[in-house]
Amino acid sequence: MPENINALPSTETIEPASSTEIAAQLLECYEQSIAVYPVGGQTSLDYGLPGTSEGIAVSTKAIDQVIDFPVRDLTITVEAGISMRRLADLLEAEGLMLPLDVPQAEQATLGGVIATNTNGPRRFGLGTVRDYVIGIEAVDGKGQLFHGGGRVVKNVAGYDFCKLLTGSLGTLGVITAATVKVKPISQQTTTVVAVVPNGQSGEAAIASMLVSEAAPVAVQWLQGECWQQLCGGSSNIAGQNIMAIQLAGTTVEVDWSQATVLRELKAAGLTEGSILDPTQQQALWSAICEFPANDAELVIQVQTVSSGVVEIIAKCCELNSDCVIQAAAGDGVVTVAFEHLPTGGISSALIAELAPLAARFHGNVVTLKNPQAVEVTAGSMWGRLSAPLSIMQSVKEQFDPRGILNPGRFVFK
Amino acid sequence: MSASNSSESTISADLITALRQVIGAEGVLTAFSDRMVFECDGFTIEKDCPDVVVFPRTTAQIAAVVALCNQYKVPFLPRGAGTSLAGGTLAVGGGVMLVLTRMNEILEINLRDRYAIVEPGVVNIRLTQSLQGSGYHYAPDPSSQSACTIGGNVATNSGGPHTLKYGVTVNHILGLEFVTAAGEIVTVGGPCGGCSGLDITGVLVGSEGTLAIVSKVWVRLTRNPQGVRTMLAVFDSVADCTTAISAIIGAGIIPAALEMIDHDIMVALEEAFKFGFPLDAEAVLIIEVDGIDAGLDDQRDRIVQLCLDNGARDVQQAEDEKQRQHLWRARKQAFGAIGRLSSSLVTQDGVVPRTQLPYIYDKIMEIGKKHDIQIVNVFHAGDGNIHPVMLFDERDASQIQRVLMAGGEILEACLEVGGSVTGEHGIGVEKMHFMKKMFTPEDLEVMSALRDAFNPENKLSPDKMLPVAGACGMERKHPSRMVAT
Repeated sequence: MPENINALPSTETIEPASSTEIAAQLLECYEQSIAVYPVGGQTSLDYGLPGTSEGIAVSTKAIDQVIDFPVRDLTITVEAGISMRRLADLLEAEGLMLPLDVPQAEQATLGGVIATNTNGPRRFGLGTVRDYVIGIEAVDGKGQLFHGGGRVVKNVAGYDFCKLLTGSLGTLGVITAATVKVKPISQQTTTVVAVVPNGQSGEAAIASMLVSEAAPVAVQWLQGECWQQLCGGSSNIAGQNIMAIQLAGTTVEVDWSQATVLRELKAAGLTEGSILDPTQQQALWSAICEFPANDAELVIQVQTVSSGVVEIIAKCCELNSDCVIQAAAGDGVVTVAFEHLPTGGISSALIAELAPLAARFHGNVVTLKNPQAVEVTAGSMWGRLSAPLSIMQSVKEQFDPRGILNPGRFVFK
Repeated sequence: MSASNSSESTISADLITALRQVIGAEGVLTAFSDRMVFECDGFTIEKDCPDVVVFPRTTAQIAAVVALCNQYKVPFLPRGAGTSLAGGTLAVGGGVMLVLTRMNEILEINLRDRYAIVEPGVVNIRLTQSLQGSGYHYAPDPSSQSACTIGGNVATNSGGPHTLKYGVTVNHILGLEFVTAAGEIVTVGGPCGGCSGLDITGVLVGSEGTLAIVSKVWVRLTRNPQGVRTMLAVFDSVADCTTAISAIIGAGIIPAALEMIDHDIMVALEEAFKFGFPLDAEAVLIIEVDGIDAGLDDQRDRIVQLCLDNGARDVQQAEDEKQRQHLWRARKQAFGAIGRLSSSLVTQDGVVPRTQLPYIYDKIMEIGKKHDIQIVNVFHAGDGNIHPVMLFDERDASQIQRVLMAGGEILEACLEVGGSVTGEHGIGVEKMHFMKKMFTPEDLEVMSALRDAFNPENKLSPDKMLPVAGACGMERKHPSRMVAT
């Protein structure tokens, strides 16, 4: 039997062997109003507020089988407990990929990735979780097994539960299986890096990458010493912000696009443009992918429009000059690790200073990790909501009328 | 026949007066001859006339109309240009129809952050036209794009030929303003997509007007590709053509578009457009690849080889942008051209796994033969989305019956190979009875619960999408359901 999970107010952890068993377990919990904390690889337990009622953790780790893999249709249907690494290996053997860039892929499960809507740098060119999930199976808070979508890439029959469950943090249902679209792996990938001497040229470079005919896969702004080492560590790079552009395609395409991007970044005012060797490239993107899972005292993510990135980064540095930043600049997603809590604490730094700036750029601030649970409130954790809480609450009540799924952990009352 | 199909509106004079006060008299239609235009959409088999048609110009007016409908306890529903093909805008049981075509302003275009804000009545192609020269376009391009509205596209989660590479409508919607069934105005998402919480935007897209009335849309703009190559592959057999499609996708090539047209449609298109289609061929495939120019010739050559290896007689390339546009105009107006073949037509919208295209084509033709109904085909082949078009004479009741039987059997065949009954047209009223075949009773119960969260009284676009037992005599009256087994 698995050990109990300390991070949750759970008295035991169970590992049902099938989705039917999960449904039976949840029905029992529904009847007795016992809280259920769904877990997969347990890599994101710091994401979300602490649970508020004692209950049980229900793990999907034992349901990890491939249900259907019609390779030539470019889809795969798997149980939710499959690890992202195993899924990637299965796909890679057929020359395919699910390009979501998830940290701790050995442990992280597909179900968990969907529930937390975890995305990485390649979201810029290749999209996010919601663009890939085309079918879903889950058990709601009444112990009812339900499905949405299907196994074909185009399908508008019925309400889109795939979208609804993506990012719902296990509060509407325990995800038990999913069908995802997959893509062919590009023949070649390359990475152009350059130094960003100041905010003005940084903004010009981001804007130029959005319209670049080289169609980058990722446009990443990196700030902090660790990135400089990964990008070669030459004295020219030391102490500087870096922009890393990932390009993919056939050899001919990549040759053309890296030359184009080098030229465009230079024209924007960036310096020291270079192309990483394959080992450096792999190390850099792996570090970027793992970054949200780093062990800093506080990790936050700011979501804004792309034109807000430079100001957001400047504000974060003002709050704490030695913070480490990795921004998907084309998408306006800025992930910031604070080695130490910002001066003045979370409420004055995040809520009073950063959140209004993010709001000015139509966005918000979310806490990804705050392991010491300092000053944790719904406001500091989730920031501004996408929709009025009353609307989300009425959906929640339909799926989980007794509020047994992940109580207290998400945006709901 | 329901009361709402008679020339007399059954709605109270007080409500009509109140609607005129909100909208202005010129924006309220009550005469039967005026309302009749709105008795159906592109699914012409069923007709149900709204009692009143209103044309709001603002979100506040939509909210006020909804409040009045609730006060007078009458059903209400939104409508765009009425190009929907599954009866999604049918006014089941009459009531008030809100036609949103006068809310047609493009409110903002922001190129730096790649989004636009539009009112729901903006015609799809107008947005792309207004972006000309900017380097951007709006990617979803349904064939009806010169008429259909973005609000309607949101309701049905519309596709189009280029969604193969670029994704369907939901992949391009960042936020929505809508009026709830209770008449509240709500905004979800925005220029940078979602913040925290549930993806309400994602669930409203494709909800066919049954959850809310969309009054403003934040859409993502897509960078134009640097280059494009468009080809026309000619096949002497449809089987070879569908096999070639499977070979292209199976080889890991995802073109921007991959569209199959069969012989009979080609004949109609040739009459209408004089494109120069080879009329002795059994099928043609329009293949478009786009992206970095330096790599396109290589991609084209690989595709040409795959087509030739799978029996293509010839593969031609569009010589210039003018010829390319001409070809696409022909493809997108295929349904119009089919009008030359028959007075009435019904288009099906099944989806199969892409490798099942050869099987489903044979099955379609076998079903057509069995019911003595001529079927012609255009496929969004790259997505496995089939559009068999059944030709008939709507004055002949037995033909209608046979068309419905044939359509049902085609969709059954799609389900048998793991597909769906709708790729982009929606369930509407046409395919409600198929929901029970695609989904379990539990699935439908949860869908119904979701609708209850937004539309608890079921006054907003009632009796759509989800099968409802005994609602308003629909089960008896509905022609598709009369033949359903």
